[in-house]
Amino acid sequence: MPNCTVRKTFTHSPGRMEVRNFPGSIHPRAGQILATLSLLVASGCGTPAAVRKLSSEQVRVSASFEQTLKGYFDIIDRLTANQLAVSNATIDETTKQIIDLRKRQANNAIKAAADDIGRQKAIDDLTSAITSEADTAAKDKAQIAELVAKLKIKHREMLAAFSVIKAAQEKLDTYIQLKKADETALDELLNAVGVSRETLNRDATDISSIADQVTALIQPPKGKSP
Amino acid sequence: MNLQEIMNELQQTQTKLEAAGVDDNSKLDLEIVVLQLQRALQTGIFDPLKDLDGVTVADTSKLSNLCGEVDAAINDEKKRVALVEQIVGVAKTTMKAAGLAI
Repeated sequence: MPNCTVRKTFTHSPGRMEVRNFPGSIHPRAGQILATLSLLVASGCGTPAAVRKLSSEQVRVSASFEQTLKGYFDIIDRLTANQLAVSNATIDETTKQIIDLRKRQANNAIKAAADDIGRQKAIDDLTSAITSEADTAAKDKAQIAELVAKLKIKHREMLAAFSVIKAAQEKLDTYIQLKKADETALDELLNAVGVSRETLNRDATDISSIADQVTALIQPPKGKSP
Repeated sequence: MNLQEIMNELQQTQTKLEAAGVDDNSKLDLEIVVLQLQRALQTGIFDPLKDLDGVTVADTSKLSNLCGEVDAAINDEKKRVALVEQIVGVAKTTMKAAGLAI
């Protein structure tokens, strides 16, 4: 064939492909084969744009939600810290009042005592009661502090777990966004026939839509036997 | 009856005893019980936090290992892409040499 250097390019127009010839390029038959191959490959390879978009959005939302969690846990931590301070103050105040009442009881007992032994017993009882009340207050405050610390630890555990989950999502996203080998091959093939990737994607969608319509036409209506 | 209701009950009893002219020591005893209960209420506020032990955080240890495997897959894919680019480059050069410009 004498005129064997004609390149064919495809431009997109709704519903059809237009073929143009350029002199000084590959054989027209080769161009057709390459174009057909491109369409076949495009229909089965590469990460769809919708998947890439969802993955990116998921990573963005996860990062935002992590900030929400941090802010929320921070507020809860501050609230419990305030409550802890109030409770400690109340415990100290009630313990002081209890000790004052114990002292009044001891004074009454000392006044009512018939001898030194009775008075000494009242003093010993007061000492024992003060020690006991102080111990109870200290235990109560320690118990509260322990529970609040447990809450903070739980918050940290949850944030750490979420951070790992987010990192895994980001890793998956890195893979999803990565240009794969088959996509690279396809792009090179498309460059050879002068078709852009976007055009091919649109044409592939058109073909898929036509295929769906044809399938619908050849299928019998529902409720009727074939 | 919860702790707060017991507290209210005790305070009402204390008021009745004072009105009835009960002796000082008994009134002091009751007042002490009321204060001890008030103190116990402060710790009771934090009691729900005891259930935190039952709240387990999802085990994410496997995710870290699997991320390493995805890293390896990413590196493999990059190598495959480089190989494809190399092959296409060689093919283009060959076709050009054969007089077939793409």
